[in-house]
Order: sequence, then structure tokens, then C-alpha cells
Amino acid sequence: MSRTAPNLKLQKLAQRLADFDATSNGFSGTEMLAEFRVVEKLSRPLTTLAGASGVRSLLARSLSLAKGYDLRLSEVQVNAKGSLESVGGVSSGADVAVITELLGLLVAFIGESLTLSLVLEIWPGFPVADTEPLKKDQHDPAS
Amino acid sequence: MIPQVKVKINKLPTGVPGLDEILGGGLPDFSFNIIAGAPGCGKTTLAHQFVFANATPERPALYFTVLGEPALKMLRYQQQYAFFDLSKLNSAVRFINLSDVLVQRGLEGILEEISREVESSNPSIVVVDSFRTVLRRVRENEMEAQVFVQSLGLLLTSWEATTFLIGEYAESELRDNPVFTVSDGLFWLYQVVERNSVVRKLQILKMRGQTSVPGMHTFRITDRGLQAFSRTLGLSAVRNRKARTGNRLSIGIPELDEMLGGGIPEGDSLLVAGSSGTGKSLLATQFIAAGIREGQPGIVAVFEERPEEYAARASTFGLDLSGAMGNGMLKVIYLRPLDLSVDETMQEILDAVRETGAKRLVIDSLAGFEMALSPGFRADFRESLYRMIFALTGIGITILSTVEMEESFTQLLFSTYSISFLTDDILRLRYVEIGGELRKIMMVVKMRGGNHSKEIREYDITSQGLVVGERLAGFEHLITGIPMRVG
Repeated sequence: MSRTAPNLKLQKLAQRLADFDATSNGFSGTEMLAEFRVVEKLSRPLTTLAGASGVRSLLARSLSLAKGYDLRLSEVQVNAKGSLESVGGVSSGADVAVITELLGLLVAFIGESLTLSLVLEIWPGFPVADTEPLKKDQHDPAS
Repeated sequence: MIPQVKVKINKLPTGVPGLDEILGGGLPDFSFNIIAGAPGCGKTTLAHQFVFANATPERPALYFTVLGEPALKMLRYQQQYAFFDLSKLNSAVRFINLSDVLVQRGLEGILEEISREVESSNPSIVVVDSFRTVLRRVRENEMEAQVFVQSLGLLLTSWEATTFLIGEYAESELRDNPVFTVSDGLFWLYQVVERNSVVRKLQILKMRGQTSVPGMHTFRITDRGLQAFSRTLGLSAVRNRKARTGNRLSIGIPELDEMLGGGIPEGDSLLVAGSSGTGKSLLATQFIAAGIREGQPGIVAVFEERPEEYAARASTFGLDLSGAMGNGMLKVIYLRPLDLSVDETMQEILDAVRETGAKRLVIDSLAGFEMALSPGFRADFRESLYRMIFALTGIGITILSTVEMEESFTQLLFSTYSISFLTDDILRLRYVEIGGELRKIMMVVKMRGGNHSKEIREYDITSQGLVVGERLAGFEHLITGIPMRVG
């Protein structure tokens, strides 16, 4: 099953994370995208919890959901090592959709608090307090 | 001369209410323990409770998962429990998945990874869940398994870690298993379905260095996690059994107090036996109400109606219990029916005694109590009841229990449960047919603590409660229910 629109609150958080990571590392948006840095960083501690194969499954599912509404990801795949790679390159900002879906899966599995704790552990200075409650799904514009 | 000073083994709280008492004070630190049992019996939850009760950021707990429930799913489900403290995660409690390590590098890899993590975090607690899956890899090589367990035990003890290895074992595997040989403590959890009810029990099969309570102990899993009920629950307090005071407690009906020789001796257990409609529950309520009037807090354990219904029924007889329920003088315990254990009931009563300082307890009724028990516990009802009454009267509580009797018009039965030996005193209520009317009589059958009236007196149930009348003179064979007029 694929989604046709992202959860807006998660998407906002994903975008903030991508910006925060880029700013704190002094990268430009293009460099950040090329390496799927944020997704990689989020995946690393997840390996401790879910194992490499578990993380690979989570990434594959996130990518599949993200591809449902962001066509820029059509050439992206999860390689054998459990990392995202693009055959033909992707446009700037497309990684945010994968981050959105990965965060969405984490919130669904382990809840908002633990997901944000994980985020804080990876990006200690990230202002999680500014994050809106993530529980309500905003796929539905009426919600 | 070297002084003979024995090593002191510290005991860690398990975080499981009731389990420390069963273990003999807590879990010895640095011990190497196994939690075994069938799937779904609470092994992981028990380990989590221990972990969250003891882990600190300075001495964290490392929770290794191996080819069983992945840590991600474990976090999803375990965070539903009240003991699960989200703020401890990744600081005091760390989950590490070793499934890939086992698949790729085998037991050697597992040992290396655990060593690496232990040496870098200095944990006070290490859990391996499921350990059974680790050893499955070397099923055919017993020596390799033994060497691995030995090495792991040595490593974790050297690093002063208290360890739990969790495994799905069957009892038939107990013999000649190297894991059980090496372990200091062996917890076995059982879950048995009897008719439609689930009975959970645990047993401490082994606990080096201290004396645990032998036998099977009931436990329950709620949203607060596990709660264990020692087989000897409440009996430790009885070691300091209170001396009899000689005081008498009024039952709230002066004529009946007189029949009892001045009231119920404090710390006695009185059984009120009678058939349906004879006023047993009303009498019990009058006993509790009399205590409240005298400033003695009370507890009522009811099985067939809710507290507010109980209070409403009492008010129809002019007995106001709501005030006492509001100010803490009276606690009405409604016990959810059908899957209780006597231990849980006793725990609730003991907690209520501590909370209210109760002097009086009503159990209304023993039949309802038995019906509320899980079928698996009904077989032990008499034994459990004996323990409960002994424990509660031992701390000075005066108990009034009611029991429903099937009315016989040829003989006088005291109790269908053959529990009259459990009680100090017995009051029998029954119907008699006189002159085409169904009338009620009462008699004190037994008073262990002294003399009592031998009269058979008529009584009636009025809007003011149970009213005791005069001795029914002029009849014989009253106790058969079909008396004959004499003279």
C-alpha cells in the first residue's frame, strides 16, 4: 500500500531535522541529499535495536511509502548494506520524504516520546520542544 | 588469628511486588540467573521490571536481544507497563540486538560483543533474551554450549553484573542442562489454562546463598507488570502473633452479644451460617456498623455486589455506611469475579488493613468467594482459607464470614465447606415451620473462647435490622426445622 500524501507534522519535523543537520555540519542541501545523511544517522542507532536486517526492512518500507507521493525517489533503492542509494541521482529535498516515513514508522512502533528521544540522542541540540504533537495523522487535510 | 568474617551478599529489589519476600529479601547482586518458562508466561516482563527498578545511568542495564522478540517490538509493547520509564531508555537501560552477530559469527561473536559492550558501559545488570535461541545454534555440541555458558558467567560476574538469561524451556529439560548447572538462581514461570481461566504461578527452583520460600506462588500480570503472592503470604506477621486481649466486640445487636457471652472475642473468626434470606449479610453489616460507631475501622470483602450497592442496601436498614466509606473508616473491597486467587484476595485485604487500621473484617460470602476463584484455585480453597484466617486473626483482626447453607429439615448442618474447624465461633441461622408460618431462629453453636448461651432464640428482619426475640420455649426438635409443641 502506498500513500499519496505525507503526514504534514512528520514532514515538518523531517524538514527541520534535515535543515538542522545541514546547518550543524556546514553542508549545503545538495551534499546532504547525495549522502542521505539524516536517514543514515537515524538508521545507525536503530541497528542496535532492530539489527541490520531489521533496519533494512524499515528503510525499504519507508522508501516504498515515500515513493508513493515523491516521484523524485523513483531511482532510489536500499542496497545490500542497508543504505539508500540512487542510480540516476535525485533532486534536492527528496530525502525529506524518506525521513518523514521513517519517523512515521518509528512513531507507530515505539511512540512519539521514544522517537524524539532517539532524535535527541543523534542531534543533541535539536529543539524537540518546538515539535508539534505527532500523534494525529495529517494525511487527511480536514484533521 | 584471622577474623572469621563472612562475605555479605547484598540483595537487590526485584521491582516485582511480593517477589522479594519469596526470594528471601531480594535478588543477590552479581548472581547469574535463569528465567525459564513457556511463551507468554511473563519472563520478559519480569526481567524488565527488575531492570527498570535497579538500573542507573552510572551502572546501566544492558538488554541483549537475540533472534527472539526484536528490541524495537519489545519497546513497543513493554512501554505499556507502568514501570517502564521512558526517561531511562538509552541512559540507564540500553537495548542491543545481537541477532545478526549470532547469525554471522556464532557464539564466539556473541561473547565478543557482550564483552565489548560490558567493558565499555560497566553495567550492573545484563539480560540476554532469548538465551535459548543462542544455544540452539550449538544444539549438537554440548561441550561448546557448556564452555560458552561458563565463559559468559565468568565474564559477567567478574564485571559485577547481575545477570538474567531468559529462555523458553520445558520442565523435562531441567536434567543435565549446563545452563541450569551454572546458574545461581532459577526462576520457573508457569501459565496453565483451567477451564476458561488462566492461572499463573512461579517457582524458585534454585537460589544460591539464601533461603527462598519453596513451592508454587501465584502471580498476576496487570498494567503495572507482575505482582507475586507468596505461598506464605501474611504468615510472617503471625510469628509475632498478638496476644489475646480478652476484649469483646459488639455485633451491634445487644441480645446477640449477650448470647455470645458479651460479644465476639477480639481476634476471633465467627462463621454465620444460614440459608438464603436468613439475614446473614444484614448481620454482617450490623457488625461492621457497630464497629464504626465505636471508632473501629472495618473492611468488607464482597463478591456479589459493588461497594455502592452494598452501601445502598445497608441504608435501607438505617445503617449509613457512605460516610464511613468517605472518611476512610470503612473500605468495601469488591473483588472481580471468576479468576481470583486466595492470595490476591488476602493481599488486597492486608493492604486495606494497613491503609485503614481495620479491626473488623467481613467476608460476604464464602460461597461468593469460592465462585470468584479461578477453577484452579478452588481445589485449594480450604487450605487457602485456613491460611488467610490464621494470618488475619493473627494480627488481631476479628473476622465475620457468612456461608450459605442448603436447608435440611432432617438435620442441622454447620457448613457445606467442612470449614467449621477453621472458625473459633459459629452462629447458625435457620428457618422453622411453626403453625403454618415460616419463622427464623438462631443459635450459637460454638464459642472456642468461652461460655455462651445455649438458647435457641427467634429473630426477625425489620427495617431497623435484625431484631432478636425471646427463647422459643414450648417446642422441641426446633433444629430440625419442623418442631413439635410440647405440653
